[in-house]
Amino acid sequence: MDGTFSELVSAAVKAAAGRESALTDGRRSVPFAALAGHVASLDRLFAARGISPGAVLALEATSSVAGALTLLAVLARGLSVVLSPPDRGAPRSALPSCCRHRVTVRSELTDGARIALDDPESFLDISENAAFDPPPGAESLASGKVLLRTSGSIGTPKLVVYSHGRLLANALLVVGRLRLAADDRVLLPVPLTHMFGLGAGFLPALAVGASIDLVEGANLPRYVEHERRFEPTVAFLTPALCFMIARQKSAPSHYRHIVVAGDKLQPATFEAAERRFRRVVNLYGCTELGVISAADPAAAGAGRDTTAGAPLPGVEVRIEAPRDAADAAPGAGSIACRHPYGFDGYASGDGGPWTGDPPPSDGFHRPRDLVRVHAGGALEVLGREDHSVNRDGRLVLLADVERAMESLPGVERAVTVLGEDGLRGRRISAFCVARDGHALDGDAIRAACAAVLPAYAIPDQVRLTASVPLLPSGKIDRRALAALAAPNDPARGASA
Amino acid sequence: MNTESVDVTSAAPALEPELAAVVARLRRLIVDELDVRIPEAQVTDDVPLLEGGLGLDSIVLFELISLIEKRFDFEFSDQALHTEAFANLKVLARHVHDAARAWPRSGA
Repeated sequence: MDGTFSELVSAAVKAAAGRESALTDGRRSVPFAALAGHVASLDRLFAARGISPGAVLALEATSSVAGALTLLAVLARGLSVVLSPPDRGAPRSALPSCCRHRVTVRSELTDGARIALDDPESFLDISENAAFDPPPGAESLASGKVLLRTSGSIGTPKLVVYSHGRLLANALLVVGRLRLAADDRVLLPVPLTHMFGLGAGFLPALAVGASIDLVEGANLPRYVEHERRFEPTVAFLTPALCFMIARQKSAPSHYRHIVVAGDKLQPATFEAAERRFRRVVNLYGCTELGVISAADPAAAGAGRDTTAGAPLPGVEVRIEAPRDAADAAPGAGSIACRHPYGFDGYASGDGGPWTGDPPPSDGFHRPRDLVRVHAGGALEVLGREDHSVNRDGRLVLLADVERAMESLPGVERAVTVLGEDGLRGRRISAFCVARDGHALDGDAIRAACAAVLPAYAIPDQVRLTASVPLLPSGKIDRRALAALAAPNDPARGASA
Repeated sequence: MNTESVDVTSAAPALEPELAAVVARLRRLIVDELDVRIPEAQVTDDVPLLEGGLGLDSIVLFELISLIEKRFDFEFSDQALHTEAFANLKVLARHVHDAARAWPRSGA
């Protein structure tokens, strides 16, 4: 299965021939002509450390030149790899037991590491996984696969498996729609370890020989710094970052378009973003399928603000009746999607065979998004079908939040509802019922949530209630709670 | 995170009074208005606001920028936005002080 990513590197070098395309991160720069040399020197290091196809590698890659080179070398070697962003937790989270080695790319930004690109040992920490114990059935994943963590549930982890060939084909399908070319300068302030940054941004840009600038730890001042130096033609942004930058009154002339994935931009933000970046291309996708649809950057028609364009060539879309009839909007339903180069399937969090729901027999993946199809085939994503929300780019199932809060002392019952848009995603309000005899305080519960929930999943407000309002059917009346949550919502973030 | 030096103002060289007042206002913004729950003792004059210090994430940093603009009545231009300006409170105070003074106000 190896060879495909080696070919990608060769193709990138060839496409960039005669240009000054480079891979940069604001500190380091590697001309494309030197890519293969760096990949070869990393390959020698991996060989010397016994990192070979046949056992899965855990790669923690920063969005930096060192991170990108390491990723390319890992892929070109035909290794199976579990990709994740750097783990700054202490203690660090456990590796899947299928991983024999962990390779961590040091960060000049957060670790103050002093690195030399010519010396891979200066920017890599390589360690053996003491708990290496591949589960039965893991052999099929041991070579030529990329395993991505889902942005999904806080509960049971699962991995999304792509064979190298499919991942590459998936990324190449994006090139035409986004009209990427060798003279582009692509700014990537999104992680390399997620499908948006990797499959929509990095690999397609590399394939055409475009210059790529990676931004680690993107924030407003850091983005503007990179923008000033790199003068991108195309940038890949989250809605939050887009909102932050679009408020700047400048309009740099080098932009052709930006690509935004995730929740829909507010109309005012879309307008401001088009003033600043010339054009906004909405993109819709998921970890399992990569890019499903994206607007055509060259099309100026109406509806670009609300839709995410038509499906990519060869991607089939069906709209099905939503599970919960209450979610039905006119002409809308739950999207089912078949991608010619979608994922191979899931693996369990330890790299063993997936034991959850079997893959659908019809080959259609159901991301549980509510979608309406417009004339011309453009998809309008209306929101999540299940009781969930994207926060900081990660999927939060509200049931997980409620369960975690109910584990806190004194909390008998926790019910969450979604409110208006904020920069991290829609706001989460929680209503708690106290256990008999416990005096609770909403702010104290919210503070206690930090021990049981990741920061992005902590509710924005916690209120106490004597009882949970119910519908005649006995289900929780979430609309009543949402109305209760709204009036005192301190207008923070995007709505401000 | 450096939490040892609580009374840094006495140890560090004295700031110009005007800047010291800006530092104090900025500290109040971070401690009282940002949704970060950082104890005041940690928000020293010299602690880095981003990586290696308070570690303000992109959204909190944006909220801080927005609050500064509102309270000090100016807007950060692209040129004024760079990460060095957020090195620590003293550096930020200097930038805020200068930018606010240079900001063109109608009817001025």
